[in-house]
Amino acid sequence: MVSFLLGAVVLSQLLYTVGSLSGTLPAVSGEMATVGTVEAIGNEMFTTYLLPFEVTAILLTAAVVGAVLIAQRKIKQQDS
Amino acid sequence: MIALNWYLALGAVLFTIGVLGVLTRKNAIVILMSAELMLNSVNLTLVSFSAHLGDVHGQILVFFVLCVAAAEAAVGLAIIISIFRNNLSVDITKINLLRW
Repeated sequence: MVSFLLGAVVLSQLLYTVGSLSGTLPAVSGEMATVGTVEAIGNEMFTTYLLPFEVTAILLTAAVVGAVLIAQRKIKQQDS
Repeated sequence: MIALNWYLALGAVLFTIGVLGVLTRKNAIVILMSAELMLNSVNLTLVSFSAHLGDVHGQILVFFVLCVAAAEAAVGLAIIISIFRNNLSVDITKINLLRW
């Protein structure tokens, strides 16, 4: 019961805050719509920087394989 | 819009906290976290300059810095695990095998 009341209070506070601050965001200008969006970054990354992007994939794979190799539990040596 | 100087000041403060953490802390994991904090403060500076100048290349550079930071964190944590298995400690004052 107490948790339900607390949840209702928190939800009302959230709704009040979002409702009171919804008009304060800056209007989207033309420059903001073209610079810094996912579309602009993706256009640049997958055309000009395509080769470095693929190299980062290889780098991350090598890093994960190396980390697992370093951190894995040592296999007990079988006496031969 | 928040002015550019605030972002730069926040980046400088975060970088200073990272440098102090690397130089003063004894725990190896905390030192790794401080190094990541320095990398991310530089990322914040790059992104703020990129947004201020209207150039996308800074954010792409931030992407590559994040990739290298992720690889560095993975390998660093693996090395810390290995050191802990050998020494039963991650205190860098007790790990002086390579000290000259």
